Amino acid sequence: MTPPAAPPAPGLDDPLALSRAQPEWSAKTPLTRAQSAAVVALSIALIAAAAARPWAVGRAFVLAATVFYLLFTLYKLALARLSVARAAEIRVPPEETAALDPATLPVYSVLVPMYREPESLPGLVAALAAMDYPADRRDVQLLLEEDDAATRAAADALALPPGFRITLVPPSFPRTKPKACNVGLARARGELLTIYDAEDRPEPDQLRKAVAAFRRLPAEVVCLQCKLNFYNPRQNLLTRWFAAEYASWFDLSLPGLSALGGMIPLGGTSNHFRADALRALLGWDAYNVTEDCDLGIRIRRRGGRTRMLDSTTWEEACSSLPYWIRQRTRWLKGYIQTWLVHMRRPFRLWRELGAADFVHFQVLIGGIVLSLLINPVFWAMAVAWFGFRRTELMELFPGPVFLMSAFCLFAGNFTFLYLGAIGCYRRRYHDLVKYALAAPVYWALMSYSAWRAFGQFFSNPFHWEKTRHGLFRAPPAG
Amino acid sequence: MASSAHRPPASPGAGRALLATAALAALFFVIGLGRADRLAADGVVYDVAARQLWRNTTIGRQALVGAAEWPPLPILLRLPAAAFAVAGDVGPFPSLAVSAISGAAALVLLWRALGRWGAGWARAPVALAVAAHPFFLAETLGGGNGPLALCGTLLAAAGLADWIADRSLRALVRLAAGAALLTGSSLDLIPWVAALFAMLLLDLAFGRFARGQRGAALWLAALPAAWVAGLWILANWLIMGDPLYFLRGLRNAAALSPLPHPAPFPFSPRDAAAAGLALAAAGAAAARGRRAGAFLGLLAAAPPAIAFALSAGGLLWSPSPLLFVAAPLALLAAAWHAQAAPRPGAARAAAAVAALALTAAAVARLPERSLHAPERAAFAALADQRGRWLPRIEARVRARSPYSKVFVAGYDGLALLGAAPSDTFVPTLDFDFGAAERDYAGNRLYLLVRRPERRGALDAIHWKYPRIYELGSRHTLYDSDWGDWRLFEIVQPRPGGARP
Repeated sequence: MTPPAAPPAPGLDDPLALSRAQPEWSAKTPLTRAQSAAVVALSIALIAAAAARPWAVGRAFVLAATVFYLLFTLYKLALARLSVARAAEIRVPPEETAALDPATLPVYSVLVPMYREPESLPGLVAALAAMDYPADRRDVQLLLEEDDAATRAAADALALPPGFRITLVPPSFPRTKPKACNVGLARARGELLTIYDAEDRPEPDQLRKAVAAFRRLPAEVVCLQCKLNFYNPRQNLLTRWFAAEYASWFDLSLPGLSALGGMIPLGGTSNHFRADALRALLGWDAYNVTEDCDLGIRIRRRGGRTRMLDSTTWEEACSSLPYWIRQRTRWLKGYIQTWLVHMRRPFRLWRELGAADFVHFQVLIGGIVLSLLINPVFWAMAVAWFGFRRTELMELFPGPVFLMSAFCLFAGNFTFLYLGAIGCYRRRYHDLVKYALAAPVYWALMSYSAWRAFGQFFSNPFHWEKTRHGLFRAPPAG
Repeated sequence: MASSAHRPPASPGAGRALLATAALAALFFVIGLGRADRLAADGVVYDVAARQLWRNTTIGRQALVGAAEWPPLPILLRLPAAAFAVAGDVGPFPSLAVSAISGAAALVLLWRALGRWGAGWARAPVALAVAAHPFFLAETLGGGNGPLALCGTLLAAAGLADWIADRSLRALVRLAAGAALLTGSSLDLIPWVAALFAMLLLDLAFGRFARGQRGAALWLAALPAAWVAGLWILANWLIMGDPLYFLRGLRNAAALSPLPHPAPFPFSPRDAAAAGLALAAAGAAAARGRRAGAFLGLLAAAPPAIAFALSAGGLLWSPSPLLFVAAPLALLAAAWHAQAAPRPGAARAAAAVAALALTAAAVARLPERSLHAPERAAFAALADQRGRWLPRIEARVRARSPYSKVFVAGYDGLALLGAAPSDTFVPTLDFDFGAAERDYAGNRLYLLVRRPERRGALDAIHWKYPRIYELGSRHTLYDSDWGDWRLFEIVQPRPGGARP
């Protein structure tokens, strides 16, 4: 069966449709005038207050940060607890996917944006071709940049299986993955649609599982997020930590959110959509460097829901520290963008998300970046206190604040370590459990990336720091 | 799969369990408030320590970490309530709140564990047997630490049984949480935690596991307890200047052994019945090759054995917590075995009869040589002393000089002074003559020391200045006796010091 040709939705042939039609939802303007004014006013007020009463400002900062840490710790614990609930993930047993009649399966669009990744192409095509889905109902678009000669040449050299095609993305600003995805969305023919990265290895039955799950779920569930993890977790220490972090995020935190039925900040790939709903949202924001996270929030704001699907896509963990830092910088910069975009009108955000999701948004999007930015301040104070006995620091920690801070330092940090270890165990990375316990070094790297992201947000907000893949050569699982 | 329910509960029964815990805790708390004059002695000490800690005083920090026999978690758990108590200057609110919540949680844990094992028939008799136990009531309604220890043992023991049965991560985390809770809240049960880990190691050694799973399971199970112990050591280094300071009292106890006036070993018929039940369940399970049941039975029989060993060494200061946790654990083991027995009907009937017999024994208060009685008497004496003697001591020392300070040594001193601060009396846990004279130059100084008995014999004053109660020291002059307490005046061994 040949997929029916779907005409592009009005305006969707423009990959910048969202930023043009609904600029208030786009990160094209990183800071609105009102936000800029607020940032300047707040900065001036803080500097003036710090100059006039430095200890009082310090105490207020420590108090606010401590309360935040405390709540954040309890929040993560609660999510982990919720993640063991039966309803945390959509589970589709193999017999259910096997029972799906191929004749009734919908056309499934698969978007694969690629840029300068010729080495990934053969493996990717093989993995997608091996997926258990009828060839005549899959609509795989390899989204290649017009000026990316190397990848285009590699694609030309390959004999693409049935259901695969190449879509060229014209060179234009901004050069981001979401812009390429919008180009693909405009040409997608499927009723359902998903997105994979070049190095992804999805579980073969993932598309069938998604079909079965969507059929079961009400129409308001417009997106299913699969779990992500790595096929090279043991390549080096960095990939071990990275895998532990992913296990904690995708196996504990996101299922916990899913159990609550709340908003889920999407991961970069393996998001499965009802294509119409995605079109109604005008696709991805081409200016947001974590377009996935932003889309998850927009889905919820427009009344849709995302659930976690119990299927894993295996990716290549970035094993090179410089590239890892660039990738993390981009993610955190995107979180800053996303937070600012949606906080342009906070009361409207509250109204649209509801109180619970508003809290999730603040904690998971703003809170994560904030904690990574302020962590080094507290580490420095801990070193000064324990290492050099700088007793003047006690001025910043009046009685109850000291107790709460000590609790966060000792119990809070342990909670995060332990959750990382639990995530590894749950993911059956038994040998990684002990590495999860050395995560504080990894947290320091994340904080470094957060400060880098903070600077880059002002200096180069739309710059897409490309992650280099193909550093792992062993045959991937999957 | 909840496709239509968009806000599913965390897990079936979890919400109800929370509600039940809250309701029971409220009930215990209200009843406890009505009998606040019968507070458990350790509850008062923890209560005062938590208030001091909330005020961020040195004595609060020292009380938190300075003695293995006064572990830190009971103090930390009282902190939130202490914040309100300090602000509102109310009575024994923190200790009652913690004991009521932990007593309620213990019953709910028991209830849920039996439910998980399909032994719903055993829930009511077992819960009744535990709730009717005089120690449970005394501690739960009196701000004691026993219910917290019971929570820890139930969590850990049920966690081990579940882990052996289904190898679930949840069971392992429960085991780990229970072990950590006990490590930080009950010195008496540390040997029991060691036994728990020994059994886990045996299970890991002989069970079937995936590659690397043994090590990972051990990490997850042991890490929280190790973390608590490590933090305790770190805090001792930071606060007391010696990472092993908190163990010095125990070292002294070993040197002193037997402790002055150790507690007798009050093995009542009820305790004998509980231990017998536990051993029978362990034996029956072992005979049928059921590791979980055998370990559960052994864990239930371990507390009386530990109490007996400590008693034989003269190191038992209070048998109550050890003997108390034995009965609920024995009932748990019996219920587990009855549920898995080949003839469950007969086994269930036997277990239910055992539970009801223990309940009847508790309700009728069968002869018991002592359950909690010595400590309660001691606390009653302390309360009495607080009311009658402290004003007289204050009048006496102030008659000599209006600038007089009386250091009250040891954890019993915290209970003696209570929560109310005083200008004259200064609680001290790490008394040092030189520091006292430096810090209170210009004052006339006194030291009030309690007769070293049982747990009190482990206080720092007794190992820093051995036999100070009997013989005094070169820094002290005998002044007077006040019941169990002896007042010394602090003097300069050499002239030319700071004192006037």
